[in-house]
Amino acid sequence: MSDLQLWGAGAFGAIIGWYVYYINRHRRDDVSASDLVTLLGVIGGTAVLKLFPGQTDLFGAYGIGLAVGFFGYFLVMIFLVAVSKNFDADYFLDGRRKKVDPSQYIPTKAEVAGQQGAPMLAKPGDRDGNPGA
Amino acid sequence: MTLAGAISLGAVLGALLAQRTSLRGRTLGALAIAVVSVAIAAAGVAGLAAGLAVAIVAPLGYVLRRFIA
Repeated sequence: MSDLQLWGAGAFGAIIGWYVYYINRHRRDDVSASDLVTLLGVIGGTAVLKLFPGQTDLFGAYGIGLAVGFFGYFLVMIFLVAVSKNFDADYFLDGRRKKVDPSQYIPTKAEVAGQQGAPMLAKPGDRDGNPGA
Repeated sequence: MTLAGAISLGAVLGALLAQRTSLRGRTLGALAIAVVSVAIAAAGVAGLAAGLAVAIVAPLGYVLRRFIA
């Protein structure tokens, strides 16, 4: 087994771990057992076991990468909260944050997805919110 | 590397279990059942160390959440 294969398995695990934390953080509904079963299937399901057979070095590299991605997301969040002037440690406890400055605004999810124009782009008579040429 | 990977995998699964267990209501029984079943599954896939890591990290994470919440 080459080093490249081990690094590849670790990098793959890191991506999965990062997204598992991301999905878990942005869930909308209450916690349910079916979500957990789905996540467990993603992390250690048959597809992963086919790529990286259990109790091998490849699976070990995948597991290490998984932990790096999963806990790395949390560490990056801690770093970003620490350097931000708008958040402090309370954000992790109850989501508390400062009110947005009147000169700024947070775009809605529809605006981010491009389904709706941002207010600043809208012009009279332009229903799509396109800024024009 | 196999052992380190097994422990890492178990730690991730344990942290997920602790994160996804609601702090409201009586969920301790549900958490215990989930920990046991996930630990057995993890041990079957990645070895005993993974199961042990799940069994250690999940309750610790849950207690930590209860403590700071």
